[in-house]
Amino acid sequence: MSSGSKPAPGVAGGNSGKQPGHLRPEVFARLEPLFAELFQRSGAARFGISAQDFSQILMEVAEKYLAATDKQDAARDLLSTVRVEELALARACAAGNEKAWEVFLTRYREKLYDAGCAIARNDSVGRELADSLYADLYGTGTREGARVSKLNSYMGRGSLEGWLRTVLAQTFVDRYRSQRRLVSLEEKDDEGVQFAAPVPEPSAEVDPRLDQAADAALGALSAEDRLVLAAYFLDGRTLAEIARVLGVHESTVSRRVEKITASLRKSIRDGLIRRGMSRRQAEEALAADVRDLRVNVRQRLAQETAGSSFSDKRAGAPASGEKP
Amino acid sequence: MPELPEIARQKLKQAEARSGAHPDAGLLTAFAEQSLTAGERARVLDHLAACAACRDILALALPEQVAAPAQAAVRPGWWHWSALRWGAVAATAVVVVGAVWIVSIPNLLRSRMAVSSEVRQLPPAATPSAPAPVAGEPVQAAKAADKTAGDRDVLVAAAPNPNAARRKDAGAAAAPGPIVAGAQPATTVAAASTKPALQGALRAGSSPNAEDMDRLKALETEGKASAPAPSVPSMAMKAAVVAKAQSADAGLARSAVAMPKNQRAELAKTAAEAPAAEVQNGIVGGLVLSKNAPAAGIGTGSGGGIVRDALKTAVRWTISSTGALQRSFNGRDWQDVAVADGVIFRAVSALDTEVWAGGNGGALYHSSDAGQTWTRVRPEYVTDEWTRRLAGDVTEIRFNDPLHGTIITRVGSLVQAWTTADGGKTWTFSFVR
Repeated sequence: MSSGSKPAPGVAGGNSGKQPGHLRPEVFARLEPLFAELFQRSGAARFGISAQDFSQILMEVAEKYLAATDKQDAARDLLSTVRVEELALARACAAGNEKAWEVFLTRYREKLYDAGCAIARNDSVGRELADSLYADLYGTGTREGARVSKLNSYMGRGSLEGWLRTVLAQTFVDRYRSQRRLVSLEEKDDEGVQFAAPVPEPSAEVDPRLDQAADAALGALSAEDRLVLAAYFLDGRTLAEIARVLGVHESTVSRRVEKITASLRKSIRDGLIRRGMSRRQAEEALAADVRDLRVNVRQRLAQETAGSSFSDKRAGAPASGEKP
Repeated sequence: MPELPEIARQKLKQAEARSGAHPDAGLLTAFAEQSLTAGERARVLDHLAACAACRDILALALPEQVAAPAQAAVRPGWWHWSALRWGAVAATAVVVVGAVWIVSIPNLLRSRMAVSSEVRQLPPAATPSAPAPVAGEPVQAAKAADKTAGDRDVLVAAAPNPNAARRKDAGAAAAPGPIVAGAQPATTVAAASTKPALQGALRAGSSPNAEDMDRLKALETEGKASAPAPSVPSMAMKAAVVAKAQSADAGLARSAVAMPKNQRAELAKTAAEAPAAEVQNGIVGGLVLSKNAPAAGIGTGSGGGIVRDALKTAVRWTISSTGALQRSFNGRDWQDVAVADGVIFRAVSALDTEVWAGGNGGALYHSSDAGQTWTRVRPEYVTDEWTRRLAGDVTEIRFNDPLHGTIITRVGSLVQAWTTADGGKTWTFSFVR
């Protein structure tokens, strides 16, 4: 990673921890022709955005997504993926340009409603969702003379339509899912995978060998593999859904799930054997039911703060072995 | 399906706590659309592996999938019909009868055509009530013919049929209404991946497919015989005949030419009369404009700008259970869009006016004007050692923007992915594991 231990700016959500203009000016040197071409392609002029304005916008995008140590090539690569036409439209709307709004409405108004209804699976909730987003996009007053519009945070990464859908989805999850999460502690919830508070269990511990072997095995998986596992086993997504997320074919996902689980199982078992278990013990450890798998709540809390995978274990922890 | 060891499940859940800051909406969208840089994608993947909320958001935000024929309408939620606004000419609504065949014709064939003069002349302004755009057709034909890379038949489809029922009754081959584009140009023609090659083949005296040439001759004769009036449909006839260079199923060609006179007259009349502005059930392929719309006809080329805007409203696409491509302007009434005879469609993907439709037998068609005109697309992947062509059944089409898209095809149990980054001009190929 180019920026050492600091999380990449893009992934860090908003501009947290970054000063405006943190990129070195050399990054933008000699990018003028690119800026000019992008301005041309964007059609920003017809919405009253000058070349200069647009260059500012492009630099804003670069600032947001590049790390301080990125060079000009990175800037060039990034800017080439930016959806300039949509960016120009969005920013023009944010500035209140009427023509831009006309285009925007023609293209997106109905899509917004349809997307809202698809996300919420409920027409009235969906419309509400779309309405409130629309209000945010249109702008809710001014601050220091500039209109406050959510469209100003569209950076041309991903299509505008996709971005609108994502924002709708985020709003939906924030607004409706978190409520459901709280409620679901009381009522039975099929989807309740993400309980906020762990269900109280008899305090117990996992055999440290199992713990380590599992950590090692999971750590050896790629992020994409772990994503597939989480989506399939934790979220309960279908193969088709996962395939769409990753942009691969469904059969690819199917094979991947089988492969990963098989190799994970084997890898943990081998790790257990290496750490002293017999083969039978290892198999049993893997097959352990959740009720038998006793987890040290204190330990889990420690993990959450320290981020370590294996911390204090009581000396003389009972060997896994013949479990009842 | 396999089971996940419980310890692994626990660990995955625990990773939640360490997921870090969430990617913003732009990054998530770009991730879903495969447009992140490699480093960004890695970081987003890392986060997603540990963050259920973001996985949730991602899954919710994905557009509905375009898939098998059994599925219902592709509804990306398109534009508002009512938002359509036309500046210029204030005419009442027009049902435009745009039915022209344009096929990319190698120069040689064109000149051969020129010999038979009657058939040749495309009337410059055919439709009485539809100024300008129709005149664009010949130009469009030329432009279309100049398209490169990949064998393309440019097909202009669909005469609006005032009576859809009649169209349906007419059955498959001889559908009088929508003029159906030639579906299967001769294989050997397809083999020539560039126009010059095709020209060469033709010039060499042996037509790529002698059968086709015979058909062509037959068409020329028929075309002469039908003596069309100066109306768009008639121009369609002529163009159809002219266009048949790449040949089509005989049935199709004949049906195109054989549009009954009364039908043509009717179409001409409709074009002239400008009926009220509703999407009538029977209208297929024509564009119904609102009352304020100018009488700009649906051209295929030069009128394209206005047309494009008009079309950028509520066009939805779907595939019927029998594999027919269908379109709706108002979300309620659906009409078959005839693209090519005998094609069983299985996937359609549309973005604004850019439409891709594919189906069995390697059928792949593209339209830039919401289905008014279609191009047969034959992706080819050429290396030094071999040329691979798209074969099998197209089962999935995904286009994130007009330029970048992927076609999935199946040949038996093999799954292939064809990807383009330039709107279908060039393609790369890979097997899907």
